[in-house]
Amino acid sequence: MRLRRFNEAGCRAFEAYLLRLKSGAQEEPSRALLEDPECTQVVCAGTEVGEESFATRLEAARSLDVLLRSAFDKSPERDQGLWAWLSLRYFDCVCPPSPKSGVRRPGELARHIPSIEWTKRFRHLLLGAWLVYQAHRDDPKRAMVLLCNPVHRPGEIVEQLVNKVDVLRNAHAVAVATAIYFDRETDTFRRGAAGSGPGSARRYASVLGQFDVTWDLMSMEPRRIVELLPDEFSRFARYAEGVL
Amino acid sequence: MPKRINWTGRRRLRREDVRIILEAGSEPAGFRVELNLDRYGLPPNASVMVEAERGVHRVRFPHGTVEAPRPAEGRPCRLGEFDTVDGVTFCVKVVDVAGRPGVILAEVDGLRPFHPGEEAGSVTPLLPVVVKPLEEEAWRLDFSGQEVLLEVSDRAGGKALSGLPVFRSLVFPGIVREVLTRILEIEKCFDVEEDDWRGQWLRFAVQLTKEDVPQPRSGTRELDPDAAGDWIAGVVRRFSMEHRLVSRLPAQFLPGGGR
Repeated sequence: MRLRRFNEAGCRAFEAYLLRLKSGAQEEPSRALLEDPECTQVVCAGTEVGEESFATRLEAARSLDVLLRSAFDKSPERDQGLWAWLSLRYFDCVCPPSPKSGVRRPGELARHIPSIEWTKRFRHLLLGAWLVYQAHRDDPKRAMVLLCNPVHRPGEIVEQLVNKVDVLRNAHAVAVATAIYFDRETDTFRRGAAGSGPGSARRYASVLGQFDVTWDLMSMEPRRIVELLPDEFSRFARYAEGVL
Repeated sequence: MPKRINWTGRRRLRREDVRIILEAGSEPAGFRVELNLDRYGLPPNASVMVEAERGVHRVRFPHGTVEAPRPAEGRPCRLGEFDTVDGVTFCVKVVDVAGRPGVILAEVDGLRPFHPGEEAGSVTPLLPVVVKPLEEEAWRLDFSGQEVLLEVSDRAGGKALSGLPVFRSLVFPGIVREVLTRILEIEKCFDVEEDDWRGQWLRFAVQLTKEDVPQPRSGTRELDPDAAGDWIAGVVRRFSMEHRLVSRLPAQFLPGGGR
């Protein structure tokens, strides 16, 4: 299938589908809508979108990056119709049916149709992962704490860290977050990293926000950032030893 | 508005002392930095860092020291990481390398670069205009960066659209209302001294009406909604009068089509 974007009518049709799902309808995504000439336009005639599915946000972001680089000279970050179309194209990844009930629960619309509000743009499941990847494309593994989860379940840690764009843009700060909160053996977050308790990712974002006005964190080695963290982080900071 | 505690004595660089000037005709876009740091008493060996940022991207350009500010060798001032310079803003930091390594001694952020030829005596525009593909929207405001941008559709005439008298008459009052509502009710900023777009817009409004910005209830960051609404309405009214927006509405848009 060729890469397309929704026009206004397409976005409205997709939104209507999502609202029907939210109100309890059990309806499969419309494949016809993806190629409806009244609702879509071809982005780039030579760019084909595959049938792949993605196990993690990293896989999705990497694959989308290859796709979009072949289709765009400029960043399509604000192309709302494109990202909405991609959501429907990969609907089984962004809104899979529950294994038990078979019901699809889409959650808030911003997860599927990007909000024009900057602060909500990261909530889009594909765009959010791709933006993180863009910020760390020189070494995406550094951002595993933000990219390790399944596409449809980014997790609270992602919500906490990407909302602080200064943290997200700082390679060293993200490297520290990955070192202390991401367990490489289990490929998931460490216990206690989510939530709002002492040393949690939420606290990390908050503390770094305070540091950022005083310290030049971008020129600070990751190990130095770990040293600056208050005692409440000690249970996580020990994981940084030998990693950073 | 709550103030940040500045326990390190960090200085605020004045905007007139830091100028980022885009270079003509370079691809990717290049820039040069003009700094005047004499008045701040900063250590001569402190590092100067220039950062360009937009969205998730922040690119750093080490820029020598206070006594010898210049681009680092092998790191030319080029903005190749950004697809366009529209909406890119700059931050300049002076960082201690001796007494308290890593501490920011002085900084300024949200600097909009000047275009070639624009620098002499020019002022920072309140509402830069950027052309974008916006589907069926003719225009919208973008609050995601260090300044408010007026985005106009590339299909609706681009920048020329925002210069049309009819656009100014019909749209600008709504823009003033939206921006001020955003500042007071979402950003919860009430301080004309803020050194960013919010302060710039509040100063513009106060200058226009000669009325102070409404302040939040004691001990809170919440405004009396009536006070905010009345103040904003007053600004919009004054703005419309000042620019005679109805009088300047082209005749064909008036009832009767100007016949």
